[in-house]
Amino acid sequence: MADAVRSSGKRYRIAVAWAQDNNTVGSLYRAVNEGFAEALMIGNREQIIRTCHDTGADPSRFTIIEADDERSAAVKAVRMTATGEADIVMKGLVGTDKFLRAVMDKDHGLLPPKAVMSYVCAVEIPAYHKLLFITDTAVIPFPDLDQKVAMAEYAIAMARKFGIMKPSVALIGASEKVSNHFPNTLDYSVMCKMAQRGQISSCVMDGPVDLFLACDPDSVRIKGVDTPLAGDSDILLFPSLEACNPFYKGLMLFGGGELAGMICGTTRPVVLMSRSESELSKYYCVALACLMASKND
Amino acid sequence: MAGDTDLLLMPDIEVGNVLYKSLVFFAHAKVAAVILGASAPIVLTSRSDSDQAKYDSILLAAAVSKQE
Repeated sequence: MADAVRSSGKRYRIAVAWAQDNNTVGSLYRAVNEGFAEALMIGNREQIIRTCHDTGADPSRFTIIEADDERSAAVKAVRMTATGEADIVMKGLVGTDKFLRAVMDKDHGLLPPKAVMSYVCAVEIPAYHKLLFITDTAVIPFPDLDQKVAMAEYAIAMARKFGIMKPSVALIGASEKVSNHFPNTLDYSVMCKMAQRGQISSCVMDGPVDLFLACDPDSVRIKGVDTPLAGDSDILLFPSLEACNPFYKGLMLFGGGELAGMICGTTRPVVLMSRSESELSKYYCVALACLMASKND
Repeated sequence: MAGDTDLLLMPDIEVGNVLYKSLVFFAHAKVAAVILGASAPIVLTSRSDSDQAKYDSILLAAAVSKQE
């Protein structure tokens, strides 16, 4: 992914809200040095410079913009991105609620009216032969049909940026049975018909399927389920945030997974991750946002 | 918990199902499963579970049954 971004030869301007924690500064310093990012660090100038010294980063490689507090830093970062002074906005040490309030602001934010905001991750797992795109780990607790369709569209758009033009989309449940007892499976059936009729962007979609049918060809054979996914899915759409979140955390913790994620549905890429996330994870997220900010041509 | 938990209680069946299958498939976890609450333990594994998982589930059911 980082190779794809580096080889594009473009530099993306990233406005960073309250950019004064070690992992954020370290991840951006790497992205700037590799030539695909310019960082507009918004926050307390002295604190940013001190953090740079702590992490061995050269502050002259960044543009530092003074802000009084977390909230005004978030507002300024979002506004610069909305007006085109930056291509991407990123959360630094500011709280998620303050940051998202700025992103969702009706007049100066980045979310079009009625747009669905969702979170899509690209996950690399040693035990799987290719990248997996998963949604939604962080934003929508119990997506309804329209939200599920939007989630699928965002994940398909992300897969296309990775050169997967017709991704296989698995709609994940506990089994392959459609049942009234699992309302998600009814939404899934509708979505498959929508995909068949071209109401969802080009993809191979099936569901409900369990994780084995989605990712393991042997399970497909043993269970004898006729699914075009054939255990070779690119995208996993989960029925709830509570299902998707333990999936990725379980794989990070027990399966050696690496992850990059971002908010989708906004007019510009929004990089938002836990403040405790590692420098490497933040670097991957920055690279992903740059890839998503690139034009399709 | 101090990051040293023995038992994870999941909020619903879709969450629990996804988590165990992801660990089995992507992290090579071993699994044994049994249904409790009936008058005898019930071994009910996924059709695509391995021989080992089914054998381990029989062991688990036997162990649980002995305790009763």
